[in-house]
Amino acid sequence: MKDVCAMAIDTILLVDDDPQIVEVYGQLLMANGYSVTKATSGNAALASLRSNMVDLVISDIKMPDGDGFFLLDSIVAEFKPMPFFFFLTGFSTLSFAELENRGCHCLFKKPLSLGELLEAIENLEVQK
Amino acid sequence: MIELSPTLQAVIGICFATNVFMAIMSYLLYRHHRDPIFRESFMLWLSFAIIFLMNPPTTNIHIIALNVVTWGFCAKYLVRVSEQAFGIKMLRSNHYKEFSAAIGVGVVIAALGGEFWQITVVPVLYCSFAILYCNYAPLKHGKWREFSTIQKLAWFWMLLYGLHAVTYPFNRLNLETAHIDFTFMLVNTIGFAITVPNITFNTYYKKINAKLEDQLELERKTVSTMVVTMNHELNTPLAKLQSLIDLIKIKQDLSDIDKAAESMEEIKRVIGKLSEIAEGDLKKDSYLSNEESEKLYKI
Repeated sequence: MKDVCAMAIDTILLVDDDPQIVEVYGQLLMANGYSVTKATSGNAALASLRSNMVDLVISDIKMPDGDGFFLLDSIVAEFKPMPFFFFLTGFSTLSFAELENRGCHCLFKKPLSLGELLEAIENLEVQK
Repeated sequence: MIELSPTLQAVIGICFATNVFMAIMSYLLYRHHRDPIFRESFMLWLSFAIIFLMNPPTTNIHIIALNVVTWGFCAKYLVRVSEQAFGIKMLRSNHYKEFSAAIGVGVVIAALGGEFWQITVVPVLYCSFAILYCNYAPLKHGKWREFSTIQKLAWFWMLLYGLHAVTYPFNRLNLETAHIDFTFMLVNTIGFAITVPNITFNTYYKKINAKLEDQLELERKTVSTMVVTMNHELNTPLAKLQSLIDLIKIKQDLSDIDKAAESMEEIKRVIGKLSEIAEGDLKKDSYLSNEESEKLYKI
């Protein structure tokens, strides 16, 4: 795991161009004790990060107005320490190794169950 | 007028006929395939045939002028064929300015009291350097050992033709040495009749193959885009459905069940669209362009 911030995961930023997905995943994460901020595009997510820093970003890749790669690159360039970054996607044009090099920590393929997502978040906390 | 033996006359006749025959064949191929490669081949054989018009040697100004200009074309298309043979870019395609200047110098030499045939010396020498460059350039770019047999043959005949071009004004237009030039013409006609069609067809088929590969690549990309798009279309409602089920389980509350049903409907709709494609209702070429692919993305 990369040398990233060493705080417990508390706040999560959810980014997906489909508002329903953001809403439902948001509710699920909140039900599990996380506070969630939501954004429906890469640019909106960046704006949100500038005012409220989070511990973890979970983003879709294919989005209009700033896709996931743009968001990941912008976060790596702009925020230090940067939050953990998860990708939530149907497909990715890059392999996970390539994404990891760019600063991504986990790649999930949709559809994923809540269990998998929560387990991955807990694993991050254990490692710290 | 030079006296030629009947055998030599027959050989010259055969060479001329070969040049004309190759020119006609190249033209027919060009008309059929409409590919510039065959047009270049046609122009080359036509140039060879016109250069043969200087036989027997003549002082006719029109034929000399025609020959000088033809040498320009001959050099240009030999460079083209050589480029095809060795797969490297050689001279600039537009060397007309230099060639015109060479003609000018030739005319000045003739006007200054030289013999009339000397008008051809400078422009033909200019062309011979272009042809000899075809021997130098591939050696500079590639290794002799890597050449195929046909490339080696082509290289050899290009060299021979360069030498022919250098000696042309002196041999061909001088009645005593014209037989040297005829020998060159004979050997070169045989050599080019073997190598040039081979080079032309090789280049043509390489081009066709590259086009086919491009087409296959496009089809592969289209199918790939299609699969990725459909994957996305199915995964999004599936993700919604799964997370809604998770939510319903956690909250022990059925208020979101309608949303889950909507996602199910969405999945059914996408699968219905896939069936349409499988049954051929959606024509293949209707999703070739990116725009169409985007339309599918939004179904």
